Amino acid sequence: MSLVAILLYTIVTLWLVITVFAQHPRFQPFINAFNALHIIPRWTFFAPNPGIRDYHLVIRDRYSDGRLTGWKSVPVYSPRPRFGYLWNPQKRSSKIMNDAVQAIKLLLKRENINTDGIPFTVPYLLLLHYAAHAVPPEPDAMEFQFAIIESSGHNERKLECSFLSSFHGR
Amino acid sequence: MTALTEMELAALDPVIEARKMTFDVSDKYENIVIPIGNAGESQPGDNAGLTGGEGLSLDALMRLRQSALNQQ
Repeated sequence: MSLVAILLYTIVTLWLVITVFAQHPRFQPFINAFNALHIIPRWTFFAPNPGIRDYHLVIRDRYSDGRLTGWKSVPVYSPRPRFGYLWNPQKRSSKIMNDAVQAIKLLLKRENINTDGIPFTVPYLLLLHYAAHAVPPEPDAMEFQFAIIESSGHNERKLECSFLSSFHGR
Repeated sequence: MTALTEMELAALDPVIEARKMTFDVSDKYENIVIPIGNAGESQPGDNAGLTGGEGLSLDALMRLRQSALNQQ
């Protein structure tokens, strides 16, 4: 075995051992101090706290006499293409929608914006625009509103509403 | 994001009403959110100091926002 091979084996073995130790919270502070290049991975990778809830965008119309239609799902995900694991640019649009939902939830906590200022923010306008164009209006409907619904659980999903928009002209 | 079933959609009104009663529902899950800088992120003052907007169309909201931002 050449000297280069021995050196490479040593580096890879050391890397593996350090990676194993890095999974334990006890050793993380010490290892992180030398992990500026992030070459020591953690098993959770990009999701240290994996999400446990799903988001749904729903919309309903209001007629001029005040009657409301039922809620309708706003389609966000298109069917996954056959070779989606290689090339799936459609995923970007759903990612943006997801981020807009998260941004609204964060904005609700901001004292300088709060609920009254939300309709003039980018994520609100983005969701409003998308919802209005993704679901055709009912005939004679004057206004519409959208809501963000969160679901948790698997077999029997528990639903919660995390945001309800104002009514807006069609 | 996924689609809700017809049954779930039909039963949404009580869920929406519950939101009106307890406005901070589900905020307890906020700590799992990892915001990533992109089109969905907002900055302080992003709403240009405007409030309200009830009943306005999307175009009207955007015009008001643009006008307010231009005046800043």
